[in-house]
Amino acid sequence: MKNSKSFLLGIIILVASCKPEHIKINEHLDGTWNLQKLEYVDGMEKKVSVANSTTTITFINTRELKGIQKGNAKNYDFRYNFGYETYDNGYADCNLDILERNSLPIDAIGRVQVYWYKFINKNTIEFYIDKEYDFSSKQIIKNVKYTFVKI
Amino acid sequence: MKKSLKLLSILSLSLLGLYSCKDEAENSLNFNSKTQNEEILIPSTAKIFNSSSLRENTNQSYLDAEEFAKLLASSLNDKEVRKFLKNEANKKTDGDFDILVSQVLNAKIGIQSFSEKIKNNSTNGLIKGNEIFNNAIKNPKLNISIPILIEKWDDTKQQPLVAVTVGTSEKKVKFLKAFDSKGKAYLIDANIEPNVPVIVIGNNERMNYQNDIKKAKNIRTSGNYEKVTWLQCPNLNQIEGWFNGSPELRFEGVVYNDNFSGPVQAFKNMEYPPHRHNASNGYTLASWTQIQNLFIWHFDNNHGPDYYIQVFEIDDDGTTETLSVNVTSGTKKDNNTQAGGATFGMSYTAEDKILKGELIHYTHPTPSTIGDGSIQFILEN
Repeated sequence: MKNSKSFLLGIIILVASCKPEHIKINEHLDGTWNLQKLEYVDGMEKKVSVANSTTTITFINTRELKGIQKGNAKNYDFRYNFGYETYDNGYADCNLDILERNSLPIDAIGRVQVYWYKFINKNTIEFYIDKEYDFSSKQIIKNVKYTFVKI
Repeated sequence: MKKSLKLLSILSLSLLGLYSCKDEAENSLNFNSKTQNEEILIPSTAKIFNSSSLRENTNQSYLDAEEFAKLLASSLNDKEVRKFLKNEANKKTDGDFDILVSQVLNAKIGIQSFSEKIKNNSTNGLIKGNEIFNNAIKNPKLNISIPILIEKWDDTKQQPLVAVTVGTSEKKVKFLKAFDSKGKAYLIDANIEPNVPVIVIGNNERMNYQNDIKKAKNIRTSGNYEKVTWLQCPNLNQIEGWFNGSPELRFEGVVYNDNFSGPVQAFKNMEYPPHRHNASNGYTLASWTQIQNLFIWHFDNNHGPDYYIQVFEIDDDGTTETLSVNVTSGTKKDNNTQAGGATFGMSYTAEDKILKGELIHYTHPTPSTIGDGSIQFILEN
């Protein structure tokens, strides 16, 4: 009897661990994340760091893979699509489609469509892109890194 | 005498019974006919056509379609034609297993076009075939469909019947007239779903709907979503072994961006076919069709006049490699574009398979099928 219970448990664990990577990622993303830190190099080659931002992104793990970013007292709807292939730099890539990207505040993600990302730990995700165009200041910002923490 | 009469009655009844049985057996064909190692698929609900069993439809459009059905049926002796019909129907360009004849007239089957191939199959010669074909395509809605069991059709050796519905009322029709590749006519019960695939010549029920969509569609500058709506990996084993299940596909794009004065990664979208058979047979990407957009710049003044789309099959193993692709540098507004002037390196890993890639100009027809022997997909805006 004990043996059959262990066998059943083993099967359940095996089935649970067989979830495809992309499903696991979407499940892990599901929820709201707060922008803890934003770092970039501005047009004057000056390093800038923004901490304690109120910007949040919420990933809604439905079939449609949609989300909402809240920043600057405004909501920005987006769609997302995360890959799982990890490159030599330790990042995988993702697609964030925000229609109103031209009006995004500086402490908001989505000025480009494709970002590198990696999970630093279970509750921390980092997005990186080599350059973005900031429409408000009309300048290219470089080495842009967003660190979000799950709420 | 009484005994002889009784015996005669029994004998007569038996003969009548036997005759009826014979008649029944001849008219009801619940078996599939074999011919030259190929199989003619005859539905269990079909019977041999007898001119007295059906009032003939004398409507001209019906007669034209019927002749076309005979012509197409005779073409089913040709494996290439069968393969073509199955592939085209599987594309589900209007959401159903339909082939609008006017859209495939010049499609290639081997070295011949579809129209040439079909016309040449006329048993009465090319001139007659030409006449039949041209009369039939006067009907702009003329449609070939494989409405049921297409997935069960082994086009390498099976020949379905070709039935006609043009000019018939769906509510009133009880039987559909159909033909096999030998020219034999049948009646198929219209109310019971056949147990084998049947090719149907009818009017495209979705054409008006499609026209409406086309009105809303425009070139890629119109702001419509750019999307992949259908895909197929015809030789799936070459890109993903059966033991790895469904393929993992990534669509990537590169476009010139004036803000950066250079090319940028425009999109990276993963697609996971639900099942392996979906990928090999072709399927409509339901979620993408509705919600996914490959890019959102719509060829505005900040972007180049074309973008490069590249597909990878992902294996997530090996070192990072770079695939260089070229797009036109400069934007539409500055009249200073240079074809292929901007090079961008796409990242992939060594075990990934590099599938089809193509440069898409903003005037590129939409929808259009893009692909090769590894992958085919419909890109539309």
